[in-house]
Amino acid sequence: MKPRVQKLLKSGRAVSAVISNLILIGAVIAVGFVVIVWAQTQSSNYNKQYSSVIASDINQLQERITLEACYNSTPTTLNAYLMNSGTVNVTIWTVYVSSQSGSLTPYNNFKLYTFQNQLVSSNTLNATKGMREGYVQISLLTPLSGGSNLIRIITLGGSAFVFTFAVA
Amino acid sequence: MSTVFVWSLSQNTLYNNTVTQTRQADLDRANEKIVADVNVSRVDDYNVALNGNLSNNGPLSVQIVTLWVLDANKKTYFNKSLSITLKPGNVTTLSDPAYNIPLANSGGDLLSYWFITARGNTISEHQGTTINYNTEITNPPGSNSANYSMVSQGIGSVAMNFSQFWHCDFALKPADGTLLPPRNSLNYTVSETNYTIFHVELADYDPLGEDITLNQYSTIYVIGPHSGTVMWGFWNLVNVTGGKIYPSLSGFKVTLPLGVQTDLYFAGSLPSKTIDPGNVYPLNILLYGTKGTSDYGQNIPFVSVYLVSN
Repeated sequence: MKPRVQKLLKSGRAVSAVISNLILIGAVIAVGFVVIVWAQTQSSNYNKQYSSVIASDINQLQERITLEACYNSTPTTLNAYLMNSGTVNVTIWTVYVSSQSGSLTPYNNFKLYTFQNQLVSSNTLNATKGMREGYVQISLLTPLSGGSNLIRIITLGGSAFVFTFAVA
Repeated sequence: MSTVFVWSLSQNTLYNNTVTQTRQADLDRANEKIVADVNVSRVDDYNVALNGNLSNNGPLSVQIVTLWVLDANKKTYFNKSLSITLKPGNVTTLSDPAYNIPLANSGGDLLSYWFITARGNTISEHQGTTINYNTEITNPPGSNSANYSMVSQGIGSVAMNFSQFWHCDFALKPADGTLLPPRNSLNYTVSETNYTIFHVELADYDPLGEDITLNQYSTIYVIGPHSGTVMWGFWNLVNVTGGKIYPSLSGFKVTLPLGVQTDLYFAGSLPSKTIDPGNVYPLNILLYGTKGTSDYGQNIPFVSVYLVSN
């Protein structure tokens, strides 16, 4: 260490009042920038998350499905005819059907067709343009019991639609 | 911070607006009021027809997008895309041939229909061939009120659907199991030389709610002159199943379930020169059988036919 620096450290005095203030201001500005950047990052993340939540909630609010008809084409094949009656596209995620024991059985291997029997691989019912109506075909594990049954449709947006239908 | 606050506020406003719009949409859906005064009736084994009116009695315009028809006995369904927009107070008429629906069915089957609106409402179905009776007969929505008034006026418990009168013809009496030929395009012209099969659709509207069974004595008959003498001609009740006629089956009976439109077929030919051709004659349906546990008889004078010689 140079003798001049050793002397400065031993003396315990500042170089000068101006320089010390400059150092202080510089430190404050540097910390301030760090805080601003951190705050902006945080608020940006918050905005993104909040925006995503709000968009999801809005989408969920606007999803509507109507069950037009539901019947067996064979004892273990159920066709549920649906219409998107909301204002946003609806993608069907899972379908539950009440079993003979009364509990709901999930069916992820359902297929969505147009009323003209064309497969819709996206499992999406459009809101305004294109295909609003379609039918979900479910291969049941066991035949349905007679009387009233339930079908529960879960959408990709997180909405749940529950309908009752009768089996003769 | 203020930017985040303002942005959050805008997001909340967006959400609140969506909630308001969704509630309004739900309210609109709840306020749709379409009255379906529509009859669904059988045309033949493969077709049914819808006739009647749809009226918008609500405060909002309604778009009807889909029609569903169900034969509850056969469990056959049919759907048809529609594009009917009804403004408040508007009425639209559904009638043949646009509303002839290809649906496999049999006489006496329960036929139902329902409409789907663009907002997702189901216009409640009306079962076209059932009636509501507890203590008295009431007219169900869309029913042919004339049928009920005839019953109340004491004409009898059986009423006929005049729109479903038609006939088809063979040159000679067919063998059992022969398919019915197409309908004669002239509903009210009958040849005295042909073997004619009359189709009528009858329904039991008995105030006591009892089924009626008609036996082989039930017949369609005509009275007319021949060389100054009053003569009779008959067409007897025959079995037609699956579009095939069995004219030799004796002792045939038909049950008219309460409130159900049931197809009946009467077949036969007039012996040559039984009645003078070239004139119009009244046809009558003579019905005889049992109602509940007692016997029952009724005569329905229903249509007139022009009798021709060939």
